[in-house]
Amino acid sequence: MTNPLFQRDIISISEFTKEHIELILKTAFELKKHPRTDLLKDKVIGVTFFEGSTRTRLSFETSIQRLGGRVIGFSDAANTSLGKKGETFMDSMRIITSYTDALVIRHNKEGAARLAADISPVPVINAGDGSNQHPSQTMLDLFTIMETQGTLQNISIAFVGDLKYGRTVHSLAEALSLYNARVFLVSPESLAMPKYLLDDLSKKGIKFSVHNTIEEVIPMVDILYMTRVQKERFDETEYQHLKSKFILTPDMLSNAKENMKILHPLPRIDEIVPEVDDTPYAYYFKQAANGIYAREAILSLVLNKEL
Amino acid sequence: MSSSNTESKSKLLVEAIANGTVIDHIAPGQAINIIRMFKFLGKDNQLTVGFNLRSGELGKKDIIKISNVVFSPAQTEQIAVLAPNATINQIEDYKVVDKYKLKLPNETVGVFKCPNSNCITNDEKAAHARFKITKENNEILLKCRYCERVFSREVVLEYNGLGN
Repeated sequence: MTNPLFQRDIISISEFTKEHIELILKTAFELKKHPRTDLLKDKVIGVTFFEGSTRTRLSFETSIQRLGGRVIGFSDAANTSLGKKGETFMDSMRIITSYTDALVIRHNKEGAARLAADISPVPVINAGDGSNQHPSQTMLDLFTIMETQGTLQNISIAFVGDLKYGRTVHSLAEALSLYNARVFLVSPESLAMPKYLLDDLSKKGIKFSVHNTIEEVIPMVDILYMTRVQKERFDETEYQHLKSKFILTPDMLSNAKENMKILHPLPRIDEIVPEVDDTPYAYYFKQAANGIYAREAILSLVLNKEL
Repeated sequence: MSSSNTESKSKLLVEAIANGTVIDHIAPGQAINIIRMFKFLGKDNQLTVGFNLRSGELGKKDIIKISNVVFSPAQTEQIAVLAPNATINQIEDYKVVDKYKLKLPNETVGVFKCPNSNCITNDEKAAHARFKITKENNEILLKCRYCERVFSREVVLEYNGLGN
């Protein structure tokens, strides 16, 4: 039977059904347990990063190569015809997708992946479009929650930091809304979750509450999802002020539940002090490593009728 | 002012057109936006507009009569975003040859620009912004197909120079 993600674009978590999510997770667990080296054999995948990234790009490229595929692409658009000669984004996408079996794209503009998908004859996988969506990050987050908690159902999760621009938070909250999550939101006022997303959570029947400090939510959650306050969004003084209020230290974890795990999409800057790394709650490095399996699962399902 | 004078003036207001279209039952305030959207003022077509006219249905309404214009289905969809309850009367030789009520479309393509300045459609000349349209609690909402942001109709109109 053809899997439902075969030849599909992977653009937005909002298009995923529970069936899709569970199929990706099941495949990712399977690939973690029993690695495969043949699923992308003879495939060439375009990996085009118009915006810098370390983990996402390297884990996509690693996933492709581990599955037996080959990679073309760039990690910085400055040296392409688009950056150098003024070629339009749509023309660049038309050409690159005519060379490849699938396209992975990261872009600083929201909607870039969808636009590429509209003109591409091959499946497009969104590796982050501005502050909009980052579905493979969401899948690796869900994978890690499942791995650490044994279920996605009825999870209590706190999102801390930049809830306004942080696309990982938006996408994960949306996905968890399918699983009756209880959501705690902790952010400075200027980085609060946008109203349209809160409205969306309400509409989906998700229970959420807004808090001022990390300490008050720690005893209640299974997952503490930390995010970086993005320096580039603020002037220096405002940034220094904001970041100092949302820093996680080991003493704050004394009331944490035993099963509680700290996740972070990384890179972390100051928001988790290095001493937290040695606590049993720190799971962010393992989470990042899980990126390989989540991305292997997505690529395998999109490019193989059956696994 | 004599009564006959008043009569002739009110008659003038509703002067029939030989060929063209009458858009009736436009929500008050939106006629000017429809005129702006289609840039009617820059054209030669004879144009009569009524603002805040009495209407049984809406209390008040706007009306547009424009000669020698027949709206395409795509254009009537555009009008429907501004005036979802308007009626289109197509006139030929002073007679109404077609009359229909507008319905809010499910989607618009290439009509409005996306108010999100970081949306790819504002960067790529050849890209057309597309919005999925829904109505919630009497509010008309437009969701961009690309950046996935949801805007109220008023925000989209304002951004596109069609605000009141």
